[in-house]
Amino acid sequence: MKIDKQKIENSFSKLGEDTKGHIDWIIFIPVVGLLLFSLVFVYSASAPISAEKFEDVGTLFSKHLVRVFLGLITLIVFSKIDYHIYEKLARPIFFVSIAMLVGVLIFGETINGAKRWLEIGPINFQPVEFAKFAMVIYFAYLLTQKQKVIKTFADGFFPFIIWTAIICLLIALQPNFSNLVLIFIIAMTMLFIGNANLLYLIPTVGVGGIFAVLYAVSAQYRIDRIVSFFNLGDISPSVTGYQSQQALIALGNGGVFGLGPGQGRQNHLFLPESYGDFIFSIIGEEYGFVGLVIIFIAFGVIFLRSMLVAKKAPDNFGYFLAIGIVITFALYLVVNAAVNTGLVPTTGVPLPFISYGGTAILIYSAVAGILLNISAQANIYPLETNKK
Amino acid sequence: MSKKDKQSDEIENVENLTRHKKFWKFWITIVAINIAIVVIIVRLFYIQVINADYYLERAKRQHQSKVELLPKRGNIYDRNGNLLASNIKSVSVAVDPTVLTKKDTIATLIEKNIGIDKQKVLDKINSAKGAFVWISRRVLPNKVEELRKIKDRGLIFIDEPIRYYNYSSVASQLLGCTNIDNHGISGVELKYDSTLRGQSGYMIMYKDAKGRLRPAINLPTISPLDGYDLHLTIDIELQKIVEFELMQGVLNSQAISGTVIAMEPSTGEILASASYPNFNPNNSSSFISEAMRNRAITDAYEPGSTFKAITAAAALEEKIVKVTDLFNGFSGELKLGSVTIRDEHPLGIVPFSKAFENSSNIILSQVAMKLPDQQFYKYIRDFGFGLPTQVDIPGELSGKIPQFNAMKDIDKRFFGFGYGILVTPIQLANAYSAIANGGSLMKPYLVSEITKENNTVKKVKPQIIRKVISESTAKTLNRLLCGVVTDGTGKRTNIAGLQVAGKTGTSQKLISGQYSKSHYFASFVGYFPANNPKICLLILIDRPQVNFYGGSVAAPIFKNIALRWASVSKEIIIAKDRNESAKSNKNNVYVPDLRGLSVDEAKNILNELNLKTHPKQELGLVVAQFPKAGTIVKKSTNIMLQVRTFDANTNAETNEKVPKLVGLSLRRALTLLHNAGIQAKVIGSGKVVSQQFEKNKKTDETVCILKCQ
Repeated sequence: MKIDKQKIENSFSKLGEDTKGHIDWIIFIPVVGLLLFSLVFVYSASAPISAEKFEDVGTLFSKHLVRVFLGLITLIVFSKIDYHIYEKLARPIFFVSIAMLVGVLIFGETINGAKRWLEIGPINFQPVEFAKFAMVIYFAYLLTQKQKVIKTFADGFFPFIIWTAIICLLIALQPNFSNLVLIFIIAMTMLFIGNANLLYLIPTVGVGGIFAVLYAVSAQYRIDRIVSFFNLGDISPSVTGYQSQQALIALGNGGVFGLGPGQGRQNHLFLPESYGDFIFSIIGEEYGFVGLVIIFIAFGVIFLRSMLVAKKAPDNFGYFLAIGIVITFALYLVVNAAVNTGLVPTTGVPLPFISYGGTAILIYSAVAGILLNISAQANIYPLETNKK
Repeated sequence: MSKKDKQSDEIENVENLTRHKKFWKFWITIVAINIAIVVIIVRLFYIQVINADYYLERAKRQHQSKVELLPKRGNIYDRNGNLLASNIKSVSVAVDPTVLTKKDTIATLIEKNIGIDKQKVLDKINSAKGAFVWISRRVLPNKVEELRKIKDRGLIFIDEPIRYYNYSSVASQLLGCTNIDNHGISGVELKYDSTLRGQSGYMIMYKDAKGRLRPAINLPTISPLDGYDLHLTIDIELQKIVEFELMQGVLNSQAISGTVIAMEPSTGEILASASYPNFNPNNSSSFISEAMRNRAITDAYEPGSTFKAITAAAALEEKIVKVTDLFNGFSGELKLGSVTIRDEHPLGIVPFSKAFENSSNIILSQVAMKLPDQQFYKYIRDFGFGLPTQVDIPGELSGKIPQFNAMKDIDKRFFGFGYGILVTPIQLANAYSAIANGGSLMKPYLVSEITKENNTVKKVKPQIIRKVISESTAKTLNRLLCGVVTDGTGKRTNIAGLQVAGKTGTSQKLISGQYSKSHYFASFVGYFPANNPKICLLILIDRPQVNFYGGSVAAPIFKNIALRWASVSKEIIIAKDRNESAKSNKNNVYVPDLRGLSVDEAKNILNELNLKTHPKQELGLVVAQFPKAGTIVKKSTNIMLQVRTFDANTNAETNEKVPKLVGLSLRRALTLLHNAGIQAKVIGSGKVVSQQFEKNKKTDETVCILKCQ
């Protein structure tokens, strides 16, 4: 533990010094690119709905524009903050997030039968967006702390399971099935990579799976979604089946090269969430297969580069933090794309960096900033550091 | 190795050793994620590349909407270029009940402005299942002005042109009308529907999920092709005269209906044709099939005496009979077994011309017997009976001619004077036209020219079907028919200064095998001027009640039309000498015939002639005038006009307050006045020769003074 303290002091002292490497441009450029391109995508996808709701095509877009701007600032600010500060802040951040999850159950506004949104002053946001990264940071910290006892049950495995269970329970009460499952998967993946004892991990995943199935069938609308998912032949009157069909039509209508910017038709009220969870399909309609593949390549570059960052991270905390962040990004991308292509039942999962969505952009930007800070300390630019 | 490298190596050595060993775990996770991404890309490839056509088709179905672009329906003109039928702007009102909010306000305004019961409107909206319900089609734009001010997304206005007939009910049966979808349903509108209608174009528009349309520049648009314009052979001025006189004639004789057809003998052009009762094509509530039928084409009847000209034509052409041949009239009664043939005007032994003038059934039956079957049949066919004339008016009947080989002698005798055959008025008028033009049967027609933007597309030329009789036979018949008017049964059509040729006809209607004693057809068919015929005119009155003789009921109508037409037409000139005598004295003026004109029109005409008038009513039609038309009066004379407010759509009988009584028996006249609720004062006895209205100053009631002889 002594060494750890030394290292922390070390890293603090390094802050702002030239000895520290600078951020990885190969992660920075695609992230900023996705954020900036989201402006074009969101404008195109939101204009008809905006005109319908607010009688102005730009209302939703201008909100998004402000958030992207703030997001870019957040990204840069967080990339300058030494990530070791989160070792200290991990526990408080985590407890704040749990408090928010409790708060949303008490003060949250019920929309469509679920309490997911919390209003704090002018900010209206989903605590679950914050909670998943709070958990990633806390688990990264906990895994670092408990590496020596990780194989034991009581000291090593049990604390993680308790926290995972608490968070999952709170999210289940909202209810919010998709985020519950995703957070559980993130937690289990982190434990797996964090060397948890597979004797405990595998049964836990099994039990979690059983719970997930039981939870899934506990609500009629989820059963409906699943039923409509396996019944995709026609546009069914059920909203979810309809959305899924409309997403496929958008993708198919786009074809290989797409209809061109602003030429999409599915955003004309056919896809209700065209600028949010279904923006993937609108991109597919306007920019085609080629456009989507480019998006995947951008994400792929981020992931592969992050792998290198994780591998070269100066310490275990940086390592676990980087993988937690990358896994979260990747999981949300995959699930969002799977929903849009009709591979999984419709569920409300945003596309990282691109979907219109309140504070999510800021949180994703902040987390990407953290990732960039790790990259700065990972010495992946040996030539530059050698000069010093 | 630099310092830095050593430093980082140190850190790695301490705690990152295990991490490097276990890095494969992260690697597995990343591989799993990449597999998922590959699966998604394969799926995308399937949707966007392999199966794109399927989704493209579905997208097209929900994104694009074909909007019909309506063509402009062609106009209809009369022979002088007067516009008879055209299109005016109108608005159709519909609602989308799914988004309609101000139901009640809208229904109230619709009741107020359009006149549909509020409750009916609400029921229509509430019972609607879809997102579109017509409320009222083709309403004049001023009626929806108030509705347009209401802001409601569920209220829909669609511009749809409406057909408008400039002369309302005039020529209504010839023109016909269109239905709510602007397709012709009768008359010329039906016959030439495809010509008038044009071709719809379309425009592909983008549609959003709420069905709202937006024009798309990159999608195809096919412009509509407007319909062609039609030019008819009719003369709307003559048509007006004909319809007014026909209506007067039908009302005065209390008949159930009447029909008139006027043709130009030399060409077969239909100059005017009408039936009464008629309808107003601008008002769909008057669309009753009885009133929409042009009976001159759609109804067949037994022609009676008017057919004698055909019998005579056959006999004269075949030289079986000469006009000077003597025949026995059997003093008006010829018994043949159980059947007796009677004549209205008993004759002794007379030449054929005299028999014809007096319309002798007995003598014509003898002529018929002289004609061999084959030859008689040939002329009937050649004159066009038993076959449709193929006039371009829908609903034509072919009539019916008997089979000669199975005919008994007595039937052939009856056939000689027009019984046992069914003809349509147009067939008979066409046959008389053939006599008038020197023996050629023409094909009658109504549309003379089809144009588009003033360029001729098609011009119809007169068509001779066949030469039926020789020029000389036609001349002989002409003399006979003139004799009917000057000396025979058609005296009531005699006009000083205008030579009329024609024949009266009175036939009983065959009702279940028996000739009715109460149901008659009174008719007159003829042409004028006889030396150079311009108009062949047939009048047919169905079931007159007052008097059933063609000479009494139909002939006066013929005469009135002829007189008034002669005063309007440049081609027909009556009595040059009289006109000149009026001209020679500059202070004298001929009183024009004002009947049938509106008060305004009458005033204008009188003004031009320096005559005065002070009608009691300012609106309506002139039904009687004093002094009569043709009288010579001094300038500034006051012409008294009797005006009736007249509406073609209301029941004619209720308006028929003041019947025309001249020519009726006193008893009949008194009955009519009694029915109309008018008191009468009688001078003399016998038939009424004049009628005059006076106000009883004490009771303020109108009294009709009848002078009788």
